[in-house]
Amino acid sequence: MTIGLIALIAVLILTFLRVPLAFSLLTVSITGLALDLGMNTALTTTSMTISEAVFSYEMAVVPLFILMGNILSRSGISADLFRAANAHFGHVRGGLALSTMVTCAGFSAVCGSSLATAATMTKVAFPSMKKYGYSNGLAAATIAAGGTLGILIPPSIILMIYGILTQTNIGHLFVAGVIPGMLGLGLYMLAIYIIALVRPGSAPRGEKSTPQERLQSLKGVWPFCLLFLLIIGGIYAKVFTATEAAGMGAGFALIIALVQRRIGWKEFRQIFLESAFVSVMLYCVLFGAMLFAKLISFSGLGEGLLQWVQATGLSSYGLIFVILAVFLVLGCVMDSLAIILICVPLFTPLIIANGFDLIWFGIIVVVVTEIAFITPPIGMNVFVIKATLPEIAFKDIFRGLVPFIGVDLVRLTLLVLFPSISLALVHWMQ
Amino acid sequence: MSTLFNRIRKAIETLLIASLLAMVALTFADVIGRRFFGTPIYGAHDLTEHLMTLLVFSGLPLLTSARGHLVVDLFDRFVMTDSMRWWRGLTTLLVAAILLLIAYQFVLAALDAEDIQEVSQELLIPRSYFYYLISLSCLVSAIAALLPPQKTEPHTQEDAS
Repeated sequence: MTIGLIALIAVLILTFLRVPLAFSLLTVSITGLALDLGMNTALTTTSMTISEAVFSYEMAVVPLFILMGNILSRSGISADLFRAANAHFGHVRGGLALSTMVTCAGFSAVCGSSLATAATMTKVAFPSMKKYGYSNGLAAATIAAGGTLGILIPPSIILMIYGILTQTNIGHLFVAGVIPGMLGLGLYMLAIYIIALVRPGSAPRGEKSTPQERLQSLKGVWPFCLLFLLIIGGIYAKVFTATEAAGMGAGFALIIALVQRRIGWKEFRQIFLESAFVSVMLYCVLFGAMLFAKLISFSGLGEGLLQWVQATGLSSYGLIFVILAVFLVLGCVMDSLAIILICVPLFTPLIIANGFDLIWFGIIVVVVTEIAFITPPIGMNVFVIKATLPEIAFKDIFRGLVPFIGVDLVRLTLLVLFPSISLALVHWMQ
Repeated sequence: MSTLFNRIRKAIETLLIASLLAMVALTFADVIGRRFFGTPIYGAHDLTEHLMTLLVFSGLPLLTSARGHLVVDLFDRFVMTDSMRWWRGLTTLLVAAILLLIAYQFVLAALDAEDIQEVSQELLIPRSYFYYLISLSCLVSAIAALLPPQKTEPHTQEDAS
């Protein structure tokens, strides 16, 4: 447990001292594992973790959706989409950010990957928001927060993993995620509206379009609608998985861009190279995060935390808040998938023993890990955006995220206090 | 010498583009074949996984050479000063050391894979070749980390904020 605790602090220090994130995680993890289990085991675990991650078909969703986003962005489809959005909502203060948020929700619901949504929407939405004079902080934070909506709106990879770990019906989990997901979208939009009211300069109002202009603006949107319907329809009809949907999306985006001559050879080369480099960068961080999760697990830190929670003798709801606090703290330094994998099996018996519903707990846990996607220092969505937009400082993105983290905490409190928000549709279904 | 490096860089970039394009084409053809013609591509998942490995570990030396890994820039005002030059040097050594350790470990993994004849599930592709590729990639990346940064298309990450 001591090694795990020291490792957590060491990762934070190295990361803040500008050691590349992937290497601060790898250095601390290899050192910690070597101290705990010996050097040979540490190195073997490292190579196994890397090969498990890289030889994973499911993880191919990342480069393929990044590629799709790059194609959409460079081919001008994104400009068409935001021209349409601006024609309809541009006159409202914060209108483009609101459109971005809805698009994020729709897209992340389709791909089921928060990281891929953040990566794609950065390419699609950010240039337009900048073009219309939005502040860096609000534009980047809208995309980072919007990307998290995908974890809850089905199909969600994290919910699937939770269902497998706890042997809970995945279909019920998906249904239970719908209302909390919509609630999240509504609260995020409310946050944008309030930001636009308080700081009008960060989300300027555009000119009001005529009805003819609005109609004309829809002309360029059909390729995006086609892709959207293809991906949503394909996944919901179980025609293909998220990775396959990503491949199909990238393929169709490429065909549309080439047939309509929206990109030439030079752009084609740049799109593919940029997608490849961002993917390599993300994979390196994932190698580190996955190995770090193993160190935390081996060091017994998770178990130590559990014993501490059990020793407090708290009431049922007090216990839930302490468990969520543990998730939030771990979420500051670990990726969401790792948190779910480590903590859920530990806390599940405690949840059952206290008479809580596992579906409800799953939704709560996912909302907490959503928050972890946008909290420093390892908010993965923020890193995806930073990887795509290196000119924006981390502090600007994190500062912009404060209101979104605030409304997330409001939603979390509502979901904890009123379980029927999550369970009503499931009960109705049954 | 720089012409040779440039040629190698261009070749790797072409490999990256080809790998990613192949992943898209493969997934596209597999889904169309499976849904509309009832003939999925046998081993498509296997091939995608191997293309992914090729993509990641072909790109790693270029990314490292371009100082393209993600860094947190919250304390840049402190870390990027002249008095912290020693720390930045130490960071470079740390990155190179970790990459060398991984390179070494994957040579052992490759030798083990040869011994036990480890192969992929569907197409029975020998894993040892890919472990050697990972090892070579990490070795080259370690050397690249110690050399001065090189510009790589289309952009780099570090020192960008």
